[in-house]
Amino acid sequence: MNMELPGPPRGDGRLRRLGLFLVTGLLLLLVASLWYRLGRTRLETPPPDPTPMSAAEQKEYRALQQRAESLEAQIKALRPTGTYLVIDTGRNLLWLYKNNAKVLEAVCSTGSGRALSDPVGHRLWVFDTPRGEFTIRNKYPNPVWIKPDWAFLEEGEPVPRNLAARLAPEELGAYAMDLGDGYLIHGTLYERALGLSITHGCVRLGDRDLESVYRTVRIGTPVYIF
Amino acid sequence: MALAALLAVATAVSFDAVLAAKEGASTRGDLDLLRRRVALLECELALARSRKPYLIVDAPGHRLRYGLLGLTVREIPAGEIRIDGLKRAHGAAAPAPVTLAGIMTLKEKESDPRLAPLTPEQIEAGASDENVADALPPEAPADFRVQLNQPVALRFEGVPEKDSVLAGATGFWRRLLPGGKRSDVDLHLTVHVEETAAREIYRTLVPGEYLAVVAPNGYVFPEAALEAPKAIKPGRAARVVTPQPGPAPQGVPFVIPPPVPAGTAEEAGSAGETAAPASREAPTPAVEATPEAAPAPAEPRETPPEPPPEPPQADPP
Repeated sequence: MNMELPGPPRGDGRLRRLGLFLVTGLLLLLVASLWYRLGRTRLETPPPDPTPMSAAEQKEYRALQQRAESLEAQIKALRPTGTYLVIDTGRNLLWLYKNNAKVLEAVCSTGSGRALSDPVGHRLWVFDTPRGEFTIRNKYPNPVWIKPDWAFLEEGEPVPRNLAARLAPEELGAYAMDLGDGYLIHGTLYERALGLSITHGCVRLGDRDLESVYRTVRIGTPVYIF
Repeated sequence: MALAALLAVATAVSFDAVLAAKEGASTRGDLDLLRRRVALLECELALARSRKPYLIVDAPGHRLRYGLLGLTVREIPAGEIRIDGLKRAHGAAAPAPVTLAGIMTLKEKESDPRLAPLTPEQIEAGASDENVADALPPEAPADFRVQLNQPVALRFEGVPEKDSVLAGATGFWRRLLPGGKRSDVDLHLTVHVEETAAREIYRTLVPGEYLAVVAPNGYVFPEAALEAPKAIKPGRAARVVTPQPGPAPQGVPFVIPPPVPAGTAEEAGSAGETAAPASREAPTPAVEATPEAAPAPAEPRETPPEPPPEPPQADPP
């Protein structure tokens, strides 16, 4: 008896091809991974060469030892001493050192790294805390902030023409220490935001830490920001 | 041509520890370690003299180290530091110091918010109060690439290296497709650190930042990949300003930070460059008094105005 088997339903071949493609892909992935891992193992750091040094190499070794000692001494001579501040913009921390001993660790806020453009005036501001070596140039009790143009632009307000409209007497807290170039260490009305990279470039501190720092540092105290 | 070598750095001891243990050092291995140590010290001295912060990628020591003026200000343990493009060190001949340790300068970091300036309208749309946390820029990425001025590709991965087939395959494909033009890059560095640390590193890195890297034992860098220490110009010490005699200041007029002309964010901040005129309320300062005045390649920082030579008297509200 002849019986005709029904043909495979449409779409089966496509599924089979897809399955084959997936299996092949997985196999390739597996092979690639094995290759990767074998490569890593094969190229690990070799053990130090145990061959004894020749006379010339021993001479080079002694010269290098002297050079290393000299370099270490030169680096050590550059290190700060006395009282200084270190500010970590990554973790938003400030440390006060006295005679190389840490006497205060404070949570601060540093620059957001954000940029603001003024499409009308064609100006651009980058709100970064500068990195490097600075000194305290001046100390101000009860500082009054004169709000710059960007402070109004950010608020969507028109930039005032008279000075009185720019004054913000409490915005900077009880004290400010000038780092130069318009950057300050100062207080904040927003202590809950301490620890965040949120400022326009200044370093903000909480009230208690600000007072401790203000009373400890003098004009000329170095500040190191990284 | 750079040899595409992939390395799992296995040396878990620092140069100092090895050298201290080998008081009577007498093998070529000891000499090789000392050469690397001296090459790194030469780099660090040049960077310390620049008076700018720097980051040392210590592959043999499995750590990252922030320094400033020779002071180690932070150390971050690194899980794995993978380097593609190394060459095997052959023979007893002394390799060039720049192939053992060298310096790189950061050009740009991935997704840097300063590359996409916001408009006042965008800020207004985001928050009514610019000081609240909602107005923050997006969280710093934990996995990011940085572009360098040298032919080196550097990537920070804020997740631990997984020992799975999938992770292996991902690493393989990343190795094959590392991003950027392969012909332009002699060296690929991938640094695995803890996630939080990676975000913190992202925040600290700004264009112009110096990085130093030391090669793992048994390997050397391609000669053209890194800068020699002599390429780094020494910086000037911050000037100590003598306070002016007179009555206590009543107010502080500041522009923080001051404006620069649009479109010059990448170039502003280099030595001697002046920004757009400062606003009326902020007089212009002696720029040479600060480290920013020192030669700083491609620092995208605005040059801010100078505070007055003596505190203002007529500003209290």
